[in-house]
Amino acid sequence: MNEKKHIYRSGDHIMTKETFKRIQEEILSLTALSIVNVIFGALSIATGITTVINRYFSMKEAAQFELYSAVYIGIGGILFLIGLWWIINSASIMDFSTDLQIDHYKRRKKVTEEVVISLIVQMVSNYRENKKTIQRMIILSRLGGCFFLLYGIMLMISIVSENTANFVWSDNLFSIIRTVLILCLSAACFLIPFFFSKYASIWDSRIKEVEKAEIALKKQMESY
Amino acid sequence: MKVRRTQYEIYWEILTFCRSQRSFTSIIQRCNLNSKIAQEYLDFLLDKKYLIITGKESKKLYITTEKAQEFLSLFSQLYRKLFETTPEKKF
Repeated sequence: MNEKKHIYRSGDHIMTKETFKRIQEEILSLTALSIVNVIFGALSIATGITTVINRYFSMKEAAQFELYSAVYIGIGGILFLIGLWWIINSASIMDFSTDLQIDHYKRRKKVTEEVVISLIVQMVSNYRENKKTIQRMIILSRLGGCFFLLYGIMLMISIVSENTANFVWSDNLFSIIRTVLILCLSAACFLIPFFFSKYASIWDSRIKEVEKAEIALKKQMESY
Repeated sequence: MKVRRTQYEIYWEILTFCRSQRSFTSIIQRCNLNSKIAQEYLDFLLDKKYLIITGKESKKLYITTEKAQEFLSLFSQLYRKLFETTPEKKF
């Protein structure tokens, strides 16, 4: 009988350890995702500022209003604002993922069921708190992707229109690299929401499970 | 940090924390509650006999009873299931 009890307990302990490991993986994925978002937010700000400054001074040098440059300035300004908003939201996600990571790290030495459940409760409540921010991030990232794509297309058009007669690769190498980078940024901006949507859908299903659990807990409490 | 918890999550936190004798102040600090809300939760748990008061009137101490174990184990079982039954574990 005692042996059976011991087997059950060790089985529970293995399950607790596995759940703890799974939590760790999720926290790490979320932290990585939030870092990637901070980086893309910063890149968006940098691209926005350089575009606005370059086009403003080229217009000033030419001493005349150019519609093409004005459009660039507009896109640059929007990219700057999106980047700023993006960083603020990413920082909020990063704040809660690092809090979770610290808590997880502190508790790694003595993994008990209580520790695991406490982390799960923390993650559930943090998701409830940050659900709107995550939805905003999905929209922001897609919006950033659209503007990077527009910027990339405009750069491509300007390369082609400036080199209609004879195209010299070495003369346009810098512009080509810049365009490719901008298009890569755009692709990444469309890819990030995919991961956030997946994260949100997993957590939405968990929140539904919590709602079901609440009914069971209520019943249990009322049974006395 | 702001956190949104359900009443059951707060009950679980209080009951788990009070596995050894705890004062009112330590409960509100640990469970991140204001004194008014904490008192309501404690009154509810005392009423359910999930908590009992030990110590004198001047220094009340709260401790979780054996009766609360069923709630605690059901809570643990249900919440652990969240990470065990999710179809897609990684994102």
